[in-house]
Amino acid sequence: MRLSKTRWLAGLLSFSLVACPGEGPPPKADGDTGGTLIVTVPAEPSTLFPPLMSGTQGAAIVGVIFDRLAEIGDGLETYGDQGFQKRLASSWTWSTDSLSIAFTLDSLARWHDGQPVTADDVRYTFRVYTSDSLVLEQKSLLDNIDSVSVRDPRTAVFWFKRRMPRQFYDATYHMYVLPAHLLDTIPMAKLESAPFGRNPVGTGRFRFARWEPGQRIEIIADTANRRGRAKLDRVIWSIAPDFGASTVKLFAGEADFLEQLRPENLAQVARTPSLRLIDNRTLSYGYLGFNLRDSKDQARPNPLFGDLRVRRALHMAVDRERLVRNVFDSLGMVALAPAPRALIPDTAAFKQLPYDVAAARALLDSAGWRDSDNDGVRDRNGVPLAFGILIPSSSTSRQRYAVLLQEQYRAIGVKATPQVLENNAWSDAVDSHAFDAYLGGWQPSPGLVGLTQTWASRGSSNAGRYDSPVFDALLDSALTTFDPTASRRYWARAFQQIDDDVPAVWLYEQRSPVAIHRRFITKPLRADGWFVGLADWRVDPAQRIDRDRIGLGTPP
Amino acid sequence: MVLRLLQSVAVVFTAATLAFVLLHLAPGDAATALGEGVSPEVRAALRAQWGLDESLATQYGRWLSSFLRGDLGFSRDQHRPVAAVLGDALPRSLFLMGCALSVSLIGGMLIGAWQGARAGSRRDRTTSTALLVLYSLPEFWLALVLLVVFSYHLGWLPATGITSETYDYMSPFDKLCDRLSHLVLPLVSLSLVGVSVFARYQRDAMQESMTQAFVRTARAKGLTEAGVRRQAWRNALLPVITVTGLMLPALITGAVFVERVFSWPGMGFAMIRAIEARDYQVVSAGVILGSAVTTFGAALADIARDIADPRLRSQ
Repeated sequence: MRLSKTRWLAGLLSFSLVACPGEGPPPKADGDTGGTLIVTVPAEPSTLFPPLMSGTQGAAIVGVIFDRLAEIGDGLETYGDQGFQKRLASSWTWSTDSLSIAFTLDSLARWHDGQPVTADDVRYTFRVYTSDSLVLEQKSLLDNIDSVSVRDPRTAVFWFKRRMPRQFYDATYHMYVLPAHLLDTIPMAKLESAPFGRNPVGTGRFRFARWEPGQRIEIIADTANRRGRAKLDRVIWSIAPDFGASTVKLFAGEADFLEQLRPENLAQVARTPSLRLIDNRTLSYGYLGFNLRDSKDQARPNPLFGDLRVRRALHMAVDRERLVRNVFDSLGMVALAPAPRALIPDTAAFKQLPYDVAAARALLDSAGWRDSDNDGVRDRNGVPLAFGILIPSSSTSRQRYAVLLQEQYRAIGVKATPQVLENNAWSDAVDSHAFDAYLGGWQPSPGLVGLTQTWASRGSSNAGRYDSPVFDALLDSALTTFDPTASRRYWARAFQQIDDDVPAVWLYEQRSPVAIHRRFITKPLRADGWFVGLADWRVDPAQRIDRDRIGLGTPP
Repeated sequence: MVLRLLQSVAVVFTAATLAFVLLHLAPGDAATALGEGVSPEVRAALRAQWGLDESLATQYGRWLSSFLRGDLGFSRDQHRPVAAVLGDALPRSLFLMGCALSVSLIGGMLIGAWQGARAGSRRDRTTSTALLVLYSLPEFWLALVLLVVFSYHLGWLPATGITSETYDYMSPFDKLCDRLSHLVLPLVSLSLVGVSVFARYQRDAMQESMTQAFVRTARAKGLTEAGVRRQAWRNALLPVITVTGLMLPALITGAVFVERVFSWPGMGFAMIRAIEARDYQVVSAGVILGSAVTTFGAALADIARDIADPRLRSQ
């Protein structure tokens, strides 16, 4: 009797567990608007306060809740104001000497709490982004802006220290406008801990709805937005740190969108009728960086990599095309320079070192590196030609690259040893220049302004301490000339210079296709952020599922 | 009792200090953990602002002084007080572990008592082998298998989280079902190994109890077999109570992996994130809580054992 009761209860429980998730609320949405997009992500953002936000998850959410004064165009052109689209600013006027720009704010622009957007908000935003109380990566990018003043409640004027081709870009791209009326009573040093970071109020076509720590963040369409409501009702970022669990959610239909797919998942997506892939050309590139200074005595050149012939040989010994195919298949391209093709003004203008193993061997011979003891490793004065390659444990693609590089270097008598380090240990070693070589990756911002930081001799992120006055000068010229043709010419020469100097072997540019449910009709993804056109994504009315019909009503 | 309390405080304090020191000795810090895109200049400025460039002793002293004043500190990774981080995570973990402990205890005791009463029989040997296999399975592996089978292939149960993404828009009954369905896989993953442990102890204790003189006496007096087993089972409870206290650390460890696999946002989930982000304050506070729960659990087990066994009480 007891057993049958247990069975009955178990049956009831099983039935309810299986049956309940399928029951949905009655249909509410139809037509062009409506729908729920569930994005599965591996990590939760630290904060949604734009200046402090870091990581791709935070960037996507902040990018659709907040607005800039103007948005860079799809061509990612950073010269002047060409290609920029109006956002919070309805118009702008340059001063005759080009040392100031007056932005007129859209009179219909409102914060999500209903307050109008004012020039005070813009001035306050600049104060926050340049405050000494906050340590922000963007601060150095705003160096050329002297101040922001308020001409009238709807006009904010940016004053610049000197004329630069990217003044407009500097004033708009690096800052999301913040609501002064909600924040200016909080001391700058306390902004980091202000509740606003977990309950943001923006001006974008989506508004913040809720953040359940460790579980999800939800945004909903701002129906009163002057630029039109977002077509989707809501987007939910669902947090699943385990990548396997993330993919299970996607393939089981619990989530609709997965960024950062791994190559091994592509075939599985192709076999899943409900999913499709969208090409996503990111701006990232990967490289094998050499330490050009002695890791123990920075005043001395590196005993191996200080010699240009060795670096060139190590470049020419790598079949970059084959490596890309092996690791990324069709989802990668050989990198040409320290920038992705999308940002290189003229890729045809500079020559690449060829893949030539015989020439690589000859170069090493001429540099005095020969295998004197027939152990398969070249040596000179008793020192073997051997080095370690640091790789962060989080990157499986870089680990695969390291193994393949090891094999290619073995063929020319060079012993390269992959050294996988936990991410923090890897960063520590790279920051402190305590390495022979490392596999690194960068995602430059449009305009290539970040190149100064990463590869110029004074660049703080120049881990390998590449130091070329010629490259520095060409970089400066390319970034400061107002003549687009001359700029292209400077860029080509700068890239040629750094390619000839071989401070690194440029390995790959990665394409990162995303998987999405077929019912979504999307815009082309932009390389600097897939989320840029998210407010215009919509659901095919014929393919709606239960969660697309919830509507925008208040939760019961 | 006072001595016991002091011992517990010392254990908790030592554990937290060790966690603080060891995490600081590991490469990197909260500034390094911000990732590749952050320049060394910004990292250095953050270290200065957060006091990470001070000596370990100074940092420890500051942390200890704050802790003694009841301030658990500020999470650099989550930009909010540590108390808020733990306030979100702890109840979820306690709920999951409480459910898992209950299921393990009840399931293990039932199976073990059943086996012990039939010790040596074919059914006993078969179930013992099955439980041994279960015991040797790591929780995270079991969790992954359950996830793939029941979420991916069969699609019966949700893969991650405490609730569905559209939970807020469900009716109260649907909400209840939704919560239950999300609990099933983590609970099964976490409790199956516990069932095998408890069953093993209960079986042995039951087997021994069944050979005691009072059992023979009870049978001789004509007590029914069910009544005899009930008497023997009560006598076989002591080892299980002891094991319950000892199981807590294992349960906490198992929960860390299970929470990770099923994205159950509890203490394990929060601690792994904090360790990766070198969020010292969260890790230290988490260790204090974990060790407090463990010592508290052990103390509770002692008290329960005292109540169950009058001989121990008299000591």
